[in-house]
Amino acid sequence: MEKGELLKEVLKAIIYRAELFLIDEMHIEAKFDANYRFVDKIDLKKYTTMIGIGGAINLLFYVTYNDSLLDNLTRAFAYGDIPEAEFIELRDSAAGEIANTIIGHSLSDFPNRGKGVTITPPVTIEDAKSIVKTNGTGMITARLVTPYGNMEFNVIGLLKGEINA
Amino acid sequence: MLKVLVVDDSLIMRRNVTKMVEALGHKVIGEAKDGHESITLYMRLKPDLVTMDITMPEMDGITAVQELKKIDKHVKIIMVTSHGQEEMVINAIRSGAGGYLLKPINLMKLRETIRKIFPNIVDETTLTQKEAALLENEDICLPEIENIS
Repeated sequence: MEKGELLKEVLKAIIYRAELFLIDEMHIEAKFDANYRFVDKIDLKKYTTMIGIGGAINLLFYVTYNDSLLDNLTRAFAYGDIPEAEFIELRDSAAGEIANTIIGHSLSDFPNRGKGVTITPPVTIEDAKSIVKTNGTGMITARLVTPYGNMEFNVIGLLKGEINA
Repeated sequence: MLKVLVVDDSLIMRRNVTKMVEALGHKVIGEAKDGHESITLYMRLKPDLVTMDITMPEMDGITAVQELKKIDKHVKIIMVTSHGQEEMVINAIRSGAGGYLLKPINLMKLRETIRKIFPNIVDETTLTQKEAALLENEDICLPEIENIS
């Protein structure tokens, strides 16, 4: 499998599971806009979570949230009501945990059923602006649209050579 | 009532698991953010049950389970994780976990998994009416773990 194709296959698995997660578990209407785009630059929203995908394949995964969507996801993900004083800290944690949950669910849909693939704990970045492509790197992006704003999913990896996944 | 140690690097997950454990009438006696901390707290607090995440910094959950088993071969552990891979479920159970919960978890899944490990446990629930209604309505979705050796 060519690496550009691998990026798309991984992103397809993530989008599929993300849509199911939002609709079935978070009870938030979500629709994939049916577009996978190879891009030179990724614009990031205020809240972005990064997870490293390693082992059999080596990629970076970024998910970036609209503020309003992340607020609603945080309330849906939390058990019980969240006191106002705890909300911001829990929202930061929820951004990472939601990305982690989606990737975890996606692994079995990765090429070769995700065998030998590992993921890092999530890291959430605030106020980052953009990621720019460098030589030999591929960046692919796709979007889920919800009533509370969009959630964008990005996979980044080297394009040169071939892999066996 | 069980004394429970909750292990997860995510604040919102530690909070969710703690609140659910308490809603089921048990007591959370400690929270750890990684595998190393779980071992320190386990030796100090001697909980009846440990809930353990898999993907954590410092020491992952699978390694922590193996280390806890060396310390106490009777330790009771439920893996609480986002990994849906069959390979990961098998690894966790072979490492010594007694149960496996896929995130996001809910009260019913947690209660049923605890009951599988502690069949004689008596619930001392502190459920609100809303939580009790949730328990009645939630779908049970547990992995089949009995046949994994």
